[in-house]
Amino acid sequence: MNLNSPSSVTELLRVYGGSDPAAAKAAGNSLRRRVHEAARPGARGEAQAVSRELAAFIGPDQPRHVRADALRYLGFVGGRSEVGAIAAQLTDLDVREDARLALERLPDRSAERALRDALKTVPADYRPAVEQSLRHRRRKWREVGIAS
Amino acid sequence: MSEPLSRREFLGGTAAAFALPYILPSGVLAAPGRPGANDRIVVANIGIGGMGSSHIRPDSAALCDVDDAHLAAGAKRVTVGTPALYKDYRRILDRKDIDAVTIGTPDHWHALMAVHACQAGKHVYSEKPTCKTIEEGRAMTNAARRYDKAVQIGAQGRSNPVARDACRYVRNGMLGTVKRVEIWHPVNFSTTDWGVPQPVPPGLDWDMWLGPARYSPYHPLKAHFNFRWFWDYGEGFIRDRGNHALSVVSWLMNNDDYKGKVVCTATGTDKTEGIFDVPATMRVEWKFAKPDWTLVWDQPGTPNPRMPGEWGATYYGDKDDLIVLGGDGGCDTEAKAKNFQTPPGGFEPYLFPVEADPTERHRQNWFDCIRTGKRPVMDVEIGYRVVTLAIVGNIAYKLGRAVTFDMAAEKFVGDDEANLMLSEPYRFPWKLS
Repeated sequence: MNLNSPSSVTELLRVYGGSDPAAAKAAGNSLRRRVHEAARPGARGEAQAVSRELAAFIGPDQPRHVRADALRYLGFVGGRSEVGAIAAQLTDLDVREDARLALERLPDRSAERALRDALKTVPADYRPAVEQSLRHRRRKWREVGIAS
Repeated sequence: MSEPLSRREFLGGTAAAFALPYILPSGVLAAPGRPGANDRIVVANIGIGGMGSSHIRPDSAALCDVDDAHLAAGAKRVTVGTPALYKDYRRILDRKDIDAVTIGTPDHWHALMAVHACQAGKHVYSEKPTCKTIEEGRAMTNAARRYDKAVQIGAQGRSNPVARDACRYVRNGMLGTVKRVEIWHPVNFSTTDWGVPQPVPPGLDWDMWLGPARYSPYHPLKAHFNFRWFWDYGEGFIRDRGNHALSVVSWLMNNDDYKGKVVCTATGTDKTEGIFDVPATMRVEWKFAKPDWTLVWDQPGTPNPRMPGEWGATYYGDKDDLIVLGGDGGCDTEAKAKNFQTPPGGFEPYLFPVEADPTERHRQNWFDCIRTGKRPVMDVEIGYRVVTLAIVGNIAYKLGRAVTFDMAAEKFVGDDEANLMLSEPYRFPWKLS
């Protein structure tokens, strides 16, 4: 596979989680380019397609670094369709912070609702973290004015 | 490090140390919140490895670092009294007897610590780069103003007499109209080590080292010096020494208050091996308007053969050009600029009037501002404006497309994803406000 040519995000994520470090690094670099290209202004269709592929790699069957980076990228490119899957990770100790940070950034109001709902499901000691994300999200959205 | 203290300052400092050891804040001896001219400014140092260690004073009241080895080495440099040692900077901020703190941690801590220090009533000297994100720079500036604190950024080119000479030459029109400035700099460091996670060594608080940054397992190539070569912490030379280079350019080009739009493009190559993830090579171009000029960061650029050096910049005017090497404590320029005298009524760049090397002059300017209430030569708002260029350049590189940043609105124009990068969500419990 030529990792510098357009290829599926799914394939890149597989290689990124693989055992060949050079191939994983090249895949990681290509993944970054693919995600941000898909999130460019006016390319919502591409962003949705990439988000669907990313969301398939955030579950516990994947290596932690793959889950963490897929969640991070979903914060930039994800939408309403992925919010539920991301929020489900808030109860997984391995990646709950990565999921929370993704929801804090993700530019759709459904992410805010998911964080609010999570206050009822996450352990009590983690609620302050979720509340912090809600506060920061509301302030940031007000200042930056991103439509959501 | 020896400190060029006057006899009065020395006696004042030691007398305060013996008579009132860390009980009475010096500020109560003068105007509220400000030490008088002869009062001791009680300083604590946070982050004391690398450049951070240079800020330790003979009478530092407290030292803080997440690494016991740094604390042990730093304590030996304090010769007046015994400094309290902490691994959590918040314990320093709790102390009412401390007037001011220096921050020499990795970059991802600068803004949090500076904001929290201002909130706790401390003046701040924070190492460059000012901050990691636009949101952080704004928060630092707001905190400095709200709490009326002197916040100096450690880009000491603004205290370097050679950079001043170059500034005097350019700002008095000797190059004519400058349309282009090209910075050259060596590439980011590389490694062939893939960074298999390792046990955290005894004495290092890795969770505190990471602080607000997202979790990553420990590896010695992350802490300490090499944090520079990771997107999550240092973001490469462009935001590291680039902060110095960009600061000098901004000074010479009278660009500190530029509030127009900047169009930025960034190209380069990714690293193909090893744990470091910042680009292998990088070329960033910023286009300013009214006046129109272009700034280039080139890694690796080509040193100007007329006056080669490891890093520097060439200023191209319509009458002449000028080379300025370095721009931190070390700086050099051409004889024509060094020999130039400001004409009557011409522009004379400010240099804090004390005989000391640039880094110490920069610190002395900060102490003076703590006493007088003036703004430091590298006030946090200037530092924020300068590092904004590096932050925007890195965002353009990550996105792989040109971006337009509005320096007045402090956000990108027409690019929602770029605006998502104005801030970086923090790990719990860290927050800016």
